[in-house]
Amino acid sequence: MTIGLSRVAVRLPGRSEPVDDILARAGCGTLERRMFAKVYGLRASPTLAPGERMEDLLAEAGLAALDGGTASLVLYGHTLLMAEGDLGDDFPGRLRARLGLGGGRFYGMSHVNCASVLRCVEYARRYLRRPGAGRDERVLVLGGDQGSVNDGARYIPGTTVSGDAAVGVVVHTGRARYRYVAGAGARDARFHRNMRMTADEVALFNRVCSEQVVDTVRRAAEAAGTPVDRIDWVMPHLSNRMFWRTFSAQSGVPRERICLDLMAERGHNFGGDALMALEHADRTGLLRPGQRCALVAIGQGAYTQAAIVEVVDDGADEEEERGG
Amino acid sequence: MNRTDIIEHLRIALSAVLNKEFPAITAELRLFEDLALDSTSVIELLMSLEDTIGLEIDPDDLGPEVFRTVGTLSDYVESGFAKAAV
Repeated sequence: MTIGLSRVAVRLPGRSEPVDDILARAGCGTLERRMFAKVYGLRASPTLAPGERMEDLLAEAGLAALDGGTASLVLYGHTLLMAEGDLGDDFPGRLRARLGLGGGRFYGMSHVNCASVLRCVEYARRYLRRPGAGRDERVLVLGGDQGSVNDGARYIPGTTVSGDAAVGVVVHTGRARYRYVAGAGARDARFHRNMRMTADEVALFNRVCSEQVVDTVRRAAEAAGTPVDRIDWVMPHLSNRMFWRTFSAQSGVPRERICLDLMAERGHNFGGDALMALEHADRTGLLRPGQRCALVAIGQGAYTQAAIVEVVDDGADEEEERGG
Repeated sequence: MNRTDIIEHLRIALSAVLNKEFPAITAELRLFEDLALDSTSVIELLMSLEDTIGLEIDPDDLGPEVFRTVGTLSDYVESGFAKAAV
Protein backbone atom coordinates (compact mmCIF):
# COMPACT_ATOMS: atom_id res chain seq x y z
CA MET A 1 0.00 0.00 0.00
CA THR A 2 1.43 3.37 -1.02
CA ILE A 3 1.42 6.09 1.62
CA GLY A 4 1.88 9.69 0.56
CA LEU A 5 1.91 13.28 1.71
CA SER A 6 -0.15 16.09 0.26
CA ARG A 7 1.40 19.41 -0.68
CA VAL A 8 2.38 21.26 2.48
CA ALA A 9 0.47 24.30 3.73
CA VAL A 10 2.41 26.96 5.61
CA ARG A 11 0.99 29.90 7.52
CA LEU A 12 3.17 32.72 8.84
CA PRO A 13 2.35 35.64 11.11
CA GLY A 14 2.16 39.17 9.81
CA ARG A 15 5.54 40.31 11.04
CA SER A 16 9.09 39.19 11.70
CA GLU A 17 11.47 40.24 14.43
CA PRO A 18 15.24 40.72 13.99
CA VAL A 19 17.07 37.77 15.58
CA ASP A 20 19.59 40.24 16.94
CA ASP A 21 16.87 42.01 18.96
CA ILE A 22 15.77 38.69 20.48
CA LEU A 23 19.37 37.81 21.38
CA ALA A 24 19.93 41.24 22.90
CA ARG A 25 16.85 40.79 25.11
CA ALA A 26 18.16 37.36 26.14
CA GLY A 27 21.35 39.04 27.35
CA CYS A 28 23.67 37.56 24.69
CA GLY A 29 27.08 39.14 24.21
CA THR A 30 28.19 40.82 21.01
CA LEU A 31 30.31 37.86 19.89
CA GLU A 32 27.37 35.46 20.05
CA ARG A 33 25.07 37.94 18.33
CA ARG A 34 27.57 38.41 15.49
CA MET A 35 27.99 34.65 15.26
CA PHE A 36 24.25 34.13 14.83
CA ALA A 37 24.14 36.66 11.99
CA LYS A 38 27.38 35.97 10.19
CA VAL A 39 28.14 32.28 10.72
CA TYR A 40 24.69 30.88 11.47
CA GLY A 41 22.93 33.02 8.87
CA LEU A 42 19.95 33.82 11.11
CA ARG A 43 18.49 37.31 10.56
CA ALA A 44 14.74 37.31 11.19
CA SER A 45 12.22 35.23 13.11
CA PRO A 46 8.46 35.10 12.38
CA THR A 47 6.63 36.68 15.28
CA LEU A 48 2.92 37.01 15.94
CA ALA A 49 1.77 40.61 15.72
CA PRO A 50 -0.48 42.05 18.42
CA GLY A 51 -3.92 40.52 17.93
CA GLU A 52 -2.65 37.53 15.95
CA ARG A 53 -3.05 34.07 17.49
CA MET A 54 -1.11 30.86 16.96
CA GLU A 55 -4.38 28.96 16.96
CA ASP A 56 -5.46 30.91 13.86
CA LEU A 57 -2.26 30.01 12.02
CA LEU A 58 -2.74 26.32 12.87
CA ALA A 59 -6.37 26.36 11.77
CA GLU A 60 -5.54 28.11 8.48
CA ALA A 61 -2.66 25.73 7.76
CA GLY A 62 -4.91 22.76 8.55
CA LEU A 63 -7.75 23.94 6.34
CA ALA A 64 -5.36 24.63 3.46
CA ALA A 65 -3.78 21.18 3.79
CA LEU A 66 -7.19 19.48 3.91
CA ASP A 67 -8.05 21.35 0.70
CA GLY A 68 -11.76 20.79 1.13
CA GLY A 69 -11.34 17.19 2.26
CA THR A 70 -11.57 15.57 5.65
CA ALA A 71 -9.46 13.51 8.04
CA SER A 72 -10.32 10.93 10.67
CA LEU A 73 -7.32 11.74 12.83
CA VAL A 74 -5.39 14.92 13.65
CA LEU A 75 -1.85 14.68 15.00
CA TYR A 76 -0.38 17.93 16.28
CA GLY A 77 3.38 17.92 16.74
CA HIS A 78 4.59 20.62 19.06
CA THR A 79 7.66 21.38 21.14
CA LEU A 80 6.33 23.73 23.80
CA LEU A 81 3.50 22.79 26.12
CA MET A 82 1.48 25.60 24.61
CA ALA A 83 -1.66 23.60 23.92
CA GLU A 84 -2.21 23.24 27.64
CA GLY A 85 -0.68 26.48 28.88
CA ASP A 86 -1.37 29.16 26.37
CA LEU A 87 -4.01 27.98 23.98
CA GLY A 88 -6.29 26.69 26.72
CA ASP A 89 -7.47 23.20 27.53
CA ASP A 90 -10.36 23.33 25.05
CA PHE A 91 -7.93 24.04 22.20
CA PRO A 92 -8.28 20.60 20.51
CA GLY A 93 -12.06 20.92 20.44
CA ARG A 94 -11.97 24.44 19.05
CA LEU A 95 -9.45 23.48 16.40
CA ARG A 96 -11.40 20.38 15.32
CA ALA A 97 -14.52 22.50 14.99
CA ARG A 98 -12.74 25.07 12.85
CA LEU A 99 -11.32 22.30 10.66
CA GLY A 100 -14.73 20.72 10.25
CA LEU A 101 -13.45 17.55 11.92
CA GLY A 102 -15.74 17.50 14.93
CA GLY A 103 -16.02 13.71 14.91
CA GLY A 104 -12.33 13.01 14.43
CA ARG A 105 -9.74 12.21 17.05
CA PHE A 106 -7.04 14.71 17.98
CA TYR A 107 -3.72 13.92 19.64
CA GLY A 108 -0.82 16.19 20.52
CA MET A 109 2.73 14.91 20.51
CA SER A 110 5.49 16.86 22.18
CA HIS A 111 7.79 14.53 24.07
CA VAL A 112 10.32 14.39 21.23
CA ASN A 113 10.40 18.16 20.97
CA CYS A 114 11.24 19.48 17.50
CA ALA A 115 11.25 15.95 16.07
CA SER A 116 7.52 15.78 16.90
CA VAL A 117 6.12 16.88 13.54
CA LEU A 118 8.06 14.35 11.48
CA ARG A 119 7.35 11.72 14.15
CA CYS A 120 3.66 12.53 13.64
CA VAL A 121 4.11 11.85 9.93
CA GLU A 122 5.69 8.51 10.80
CA TYR A 123 2.86 7.65 13.20
CA ALA A 124 0.30 8.68 10.59
CA ARG A 125 1.93 6.25 8.16
CA ARG A 126 1.75 3.44 10.72
CA TYR A 127 -1.86 4.31 11.55
CA LEU A 128 -2.85 4.08 7.90
CA ARG A 129 -1.13 0.71 7.59
CA ARG A 130 -2.80 -0.79 10.65
CA PRO A 131 -4.93 -3.91 10.17
CA GLY A 132 -8.46 -2.93 9.18
CA ALA A 133 -7.60 0.62 8.12
CA GLY A 134 -10.02 2.11 5.61
CA ARG A 135 -8.65 2.84 2.14
CA ASP A 136 -9.94 6.41 2.20
CA GLU A 137 -8.71 7.35 5.65
CA ARG A 138 -6.63 10.50 5.92
CA VAL A 139 -4.54 11.91 8.76
CA LEU A 140 -3.97 15.64 9.15
CA VAL A 141 -0.57 16.45 10.64
CA LEU A 142 -0.16 19.92 12.12
CA GLY A 143 3.01 21.48 13.47
CA GLY A 144 4.27 24.69 14.98
CA ASP A 145 4.64 26.57 18.23
CA GLN A 146 4.48 30.11 19.48
CA GLY A 147 8.13 30.79 20.21
CA SER A 148 7.36 34.40 21.02
CA VAL A 149 5.35 33.35 24.07
CA ASN A 150 8.58 34.22 25.89
CA ASP A 151 12.20 34.70 24.91
CA GLY A 152 13.34 31.87 27.16
CA ALA A 153 11.30 29.47 25.05
CA ARG A 154 12.68 30.61 21.72
CA TYR A 155 16.39 30.98 22.36
CA ILE A 156 18.64 27.91 22.60
CA PRO A 157 22.05 29.18 23.74
CA GLY A 158 24.72 28.94 21.09
CA THR A 159 22.36 27.19 18.70
CA THR A 160 19.28 28.97 17.38
CA VAL A 161 16.22 31.19 17.84
CA SER A 162 12.73 29.85 17.13
CA GLY A 163 9.77 31.63 15.59
CA ASP A 164 6.01 31.42 15.24
CA ALA A 165 4.77 29.51 12.21
CA ALA A 166 2.37 26.69 11.39
CA VAL A 167 2.46 23.82 8.89
CA GLY A 168 -0.18 21.34 7.79
CA VAL A 169 0.07 18.24 5.63
CA VAL A 170 -2.30 15.36 4.96
CA VAL A 171 -0.93 11.81 5.06
CA HIS A 172 -3.06 9.36 3.07
CA THR A 173 -3.01 6.24 0.93
CA GLY A 174 -2.83 6.26 -2.84
CA ARG A 175 -1.48 8.89 -5.19
CA ALA A 176 -0.08 11.97 -3.49
CA ARG A 177 2.36 14.80 -4.21
CA TYR A 178 5.06 13.02 -2.20
CA ARG A 179 5.36 9.26 -1.88
CA TYR A 180 6.64 8.21 1.54
CA VAL A 181 9.53 5.83 0.87
CA ALA A 182 11.24 5.20 4.20
CA GLY A 183 12.11 6.72 7.53
CA ALA A 184 14.34 6.42 10.57
CA GLY A 185 14.54 7.84 14.06
CA ALA A 186 17.04 8.00 16.89
CA ARG A 187 17.21 8.90 20.55
CA ASP A 188 20.16 9.73 22.80
CA ALA A 189 19.01 9.92 26.40
CA ARG A 190 22.33 11.35 27.59
CA PHE A 191 20.86 14.74 26.75
CA HIS A 192 17.49 14.29 28.43
CA ARG A 193 17.97 17.38 30.59
CA ASN A 194 17.23 19.39 27.48
CA MET A 195 17.37 23.13 28.25
CA ARG A 196 18.77 22.34 31.71
CA MET A 197 21.86 20.54 30.41
CA THR A 198 25.17 21.44 32.04
CA ALA A 199 27.83 23.25 30.00
CA ASP A 200 29.71 19.97 29.58
CA GLU A 201 26.56 18.19 28.36
CA VAL A 202 25.87 21.00 25.88
CA ALA A 203 29.44 20.78 24.60
CA LEU A 204 29.14 17.00 24.16
CA PHE A 205 25.78 17.38 22.44
CA ASN A 206 27.24 19.93 20.03
CA ARG A 207 30.06 17.53 19.23
CA VAL A 208 28.00 14.40 18.60
CA CYS A 209 24.72 15.78 17.28
CA SER A 210 25.75 16.05 13.64
CA GLU A 211 27.09 12.48 13.61
CA GLN A 212 23.80 11.21 14.99
CA VAL A 213 21.82 13.14 12.38
CA VAL A 214 24.06 11.85 9.59
CA ASP A 215 23.58 8.30 10.88
CA THR A 216 19.78 8.68 11.02
CA VAL A 217 19.55 10.18 7.53
CA ARG A 218 21.88 7.48 6.20
CA ARG A 219 19.69 4.73 7.69
CA ALA A 220 16.55 6.30 6.23
CA ALA A 221 18.20 6.69 2.82
CA GLU A 222 19.49 3.13 2.82
CA ALA A 223 16.05 1.84 3.83
CA ALA A 224 14.78 3.72 0.76
CA GLY A 225 17.42 2.01 -1.39
CA THR A 226 19.32 5.23 -2.02
CA PRO A 227 22.87 5.93 -0.77
CA VAL A 228 22.76 9.05 1.38
CA ASP A 229 25.02 11.05 -0.94
CA ARG A 230 22.63 10.31 -3.84
CA ILE A 231 19.63 11.92 -2.16
CA ASP A 232 18.47 14.73 -4.43
CA TRP A 233 17.54 17.24 -1.73
CA VAL A 234 17.80 17.58 2.00
CA MET A 235 14.97 19.52 3.65
CA PRO A 236 16.66 20.51 6.88
CA HIS A 237 15.92 21.48 10.39
CA LEU A 238 16.71 25.20 10.06
CA SER A 239 18.60 25.68 13.31
CA ASN A 240 21.67 27.30 11.75
CA ARG A 241 23.90 27.13 8.66
CA MET A 242 26.96 25.91 10.53
CA PHE A 243 25.29 22.67 11.49
CA TRP A 244 24.56 21.84 7.85
CA ARG A 245 28.09 22.64 6.72
CA THR A 246 29.19 19.97 9.16
CA PHE A 247 26.44 17.58 8.01
CA SER A 248 27.55 18.06 4.40
CA ALA A 249 31.18 17.30 5.23
CA GLN A 250 30.31 14.22 7.27
CA SER A 251 27.61 12.77 5.00
CA GLY A 252 29.00 13.55 1.56
CA VAL A 253 25.78 15.36 0.59
CA PRO A 254 26.91 18.46 -1.35
CA ARG A 255 25.99 21.75 0.33
CA GLU A 256 24.03 22.93 -2.69
CA ARG A 257 21.59 20.03 -2.23
CA ILE A 258 20.68 21.16 1.29
CA CYS A 259 17.78 23.61 1.00
CA LEU A 260 18.77 26.50 3.24
CA ASP A 261 17.02 29.32 1.35
CA LEU A 262 14.71 30.03 4.29
CA MET A 263 17.48 30.30 6.88
CA ALA A 264 17.98 34.06 6.86
CA GLU A 265 14.46 35.41 6.73
CA ARG A 266 12.47 32.61 8.36
CA GLY A 267 15.04 30.54 10.28
CA HIS A 268 14.04 27.91 12.79
CA ASN A 269 10.38 27.30 13.59
CA PHE A 270 10.41 24.31 15.91
CA GLY A 271 9.26 21.09 14.24
CA GLY A 272 7.94 22.65 11.06
CA ASP A 273 11.26 23.43 9.36
CA ALA A 274 11.65 20.47 7.03
CA LEU A 275 8.07 20.67 5.77
CA MET A 276 8.46 24.42 5.24
CA ALA A 277 11.65 23.84 3.27
CA LEU A 278 9.81 21.22 1.18
CA GLU A 279 6.93 23.61 0.51
CA HIS A 280 9.31 26.41 -0.47
CA ALA A 281 11.37 24.18 -2.75
CA ASP A 282 8.23 22.90 -4.46
CA ARG A 283 6.60 26.31 -4.80
CA THR A 284 9.74 27.81 -6.33
CA GLY A 285 9.99 25.04 -8.95
CA LEU A 286 13.05 23.27 -7.57
CA LEU A 287 11.55 19.80 -7.39
CA ARG A 288 11.05 17.33 -10.24
CA PRO A 289 9.03 14.11 -10.25
CA GLY A 290 11.15 11.15 -9.22
CA GLN A 291 13.49 13.18 -7.04
CA ARG A 292 14.00 11.97 -3.50
CA CYS A 293 14.06 14.35 -0.56
CA ALA A 294 15.26 13.69 2.98
CA LEU A 295 13.17 15.53 5.57
CA VAL A 296 15.16 15.98 8.76
CA ALA A 297 14.23 17.15 12.26
CA ILE A 298 16.25 17.35 15.47
CA GLY A 299 14.72 17.56 18.92
CA GLN A 300 16.39 18.55 22.15
CA GLY A 301 16.50 15.61 24.48
CA ALA A 302 17.92 14.36 22.03
CA TYR A 303 15.83 13.00 19.17
CA THR A 304 16.30 12.79 15.43
CA GLN A 305 13.72 11.91 12.79
CA ALA A 306 14.23 11.53 9.06
CA ALA A 307 11.84 10.65 6.25
CA ILE A 308 12.60 10.01 2.60
CA VAL A 309 9.85 11.13 0.23
CA GLU A 310 9.73 10.95 -3.54
CA VAL A 311 8.24 13.76 -5.62
CA VAL A 312 5.29 12.60 -7.72
CA ASP A 313 3.73 14.38 -10.68
CA ASP A 314 0.27 15.16 -9.29
CA GLY A 315 -0.80 17.17 -12.31
CA ALA A 316 -1.18 20.38 -10.29
CA ASP A 317 1.66 22.17 -12.06
CA GLU A 318 0.05 21.56 -15.47
CA GLU A 319 -3.33 22.65 -14.14
CA GLU A 320 -1.78 25.84 -12.83
CA GLU A 321 -0.16 26.57 -16.19
CA ARG A 322 -3.45 25.95 -18.04
CA GLY A 323 -5.48 27.92 -15.51
CA GLY A 324 -3.00 30.79 -15.29
CA MET B 1 51.12 37.75 9.80
CA ASN B 2 53.27 34.64 9.98
CA ARG B 3 52.41 31.25 11.40
CA THR B 4 54.16 31.87 14.73
CA ASP B 5 52.23 35.11 15.24
CA ILE B 6 48.93 33.38 14.46
CA ILE B 7 49.56 30.61 16.99
CA GLU B 8 50.52 33.21 19.58
CA HIS B 9 47.23 35.09 18.98
CA LEU B 10 45.34 31.80 19.23
CA ARG B 11 47.10 31.07 22.52
CA ILE B 12 46.00 34.41 23.94
CA ALA B 13 42.43 33.99 22.65
CA LEU B 14 42.22 30.43 24.00
CA SER B 15 43.39 31.62 27.40
CA ALA B 16 40.62 34.21 27.38
CA VAL B 17 37.90 31.80 26.21
CA LEU B 18 38.88 29.04 28.64
CA ASN B 19 39.87 31.40 31.45
CA LYS B 20 43.07 29.45 31.85
CA GLU B 21 46.66 30.40 31.17
CA PHE B 22 48.47 28.47 28.42
CA PRO B 23 52.22 29.15 28.51
CA ALA B 24 52.54 27.47 25.11
CA ILE B 25 50.36 25.57 22.67
CA THR B 26 51.27 23.16 19.90
CA ALA B 27 49.69 22.59 16.50
CA GLU B 28 48.79 19.03 17.49
CA LEU B 29 46.53 20.00 20.37
CA ARG B 30 42.97 18.83 19.64
CA LEU B 31 40.37 21.52 20.23
CA PHE B 32 37.53 19.30 21.40
CA GLU B 33 39.29 16.41 23.10
CA ASP B 34 42.35 18.12 24.61
CA LEU B 35 41.00 21.62 25.22
CA ALA B 36 37.33 20.73 25.85
CA LEU B 37 36.12 23.36 23.39
CA ASP B 38 32.99 22.97 21.29
CA SER B 39 32.23 24.39 17.87
CA THR B 40 30.34 27.36 19.34
CA SER B 41 33.24 28.43 21.52
CA VAL B 42 35.69 28.03 18.62
CA ILE B 43 33.51 30.24 16.42
CA GLU B 44 33.32 32.82 19.21
CA LEU B 45 37.09 32.64 19.45
CA LEU B 46 37.36 33.35 15.72
CA MET B 47 34.90 36.23 16.06
CA SER B 48 37.11 37.69 18.79
CA LEU B 49 40.08 37.48 16.40
CA GLU B 50 38.11 39.63 13.97
CA ASP B 51 38.25 42.33 16.62
CA THR B 52 41.81 41.87 17.79
CA ILE B 53 43.86 41.04 14.70
CA GLY B 54 41.56 42.05 11.85
CA LEU B 55 40.78 38.53 10.65
CA GLU B 56 37.77 38.40 8.31
CA ILE B 57 35.85 35.17 8.72
CA ASP B 58 34.42 33.57 5.60
CA PRO B 59 31.57 31.40 6.93
CA ASP B 60 31.50 29.31 3.75
CA ASP B 61 35.01 28.06 4.50
CA LEU B 62 34.11 27.05 8.05
CA GLY B 63 33.72 23.28 8.09
CA PRO B 64 34.36 20.61 10.71
CA GLU B 65 37.93 20.15 9.46
CA VAL B 66 38.76 23.61 10.85
CA PHE B 67 37.83 22.53 14.36
CA ARG B 68 40.18 19.56 14.68
CA THR B 69 43.42 20.97 16.11
CA VAL B 70 45.26 24.18 16.84
CA GLY B 71 47.05 23.51 13.55
CA THR B 72 43.90 23.28 11.42
CA LEU B 73 42.52 26.38 13.12
CA SER B 74 45.78 28.17 12.34
CA ASP B 75 45.47 27.04 8.71
CA TYR B 76 42.02 28.62 8.54
CA VAL B 77 43.24 31.91 10.04
CA GLU B 78 46.27 31.92 7.74
CA SER B 79 44.12 31.35 4.65
CA GLY B 80 41.81 34.16 5.81
CA PHE B 81 44.72 36.57 5.85
CA ALA B 82 45.99 35.27 2.53
CA LYS B 83 42.57 35.91 0.94
CA ALA B 84 42.43 39.40 2.42
CA ALA B 85 45.83 40.19 0.96
CA VAL B 86 44.76 39.31 -2.62
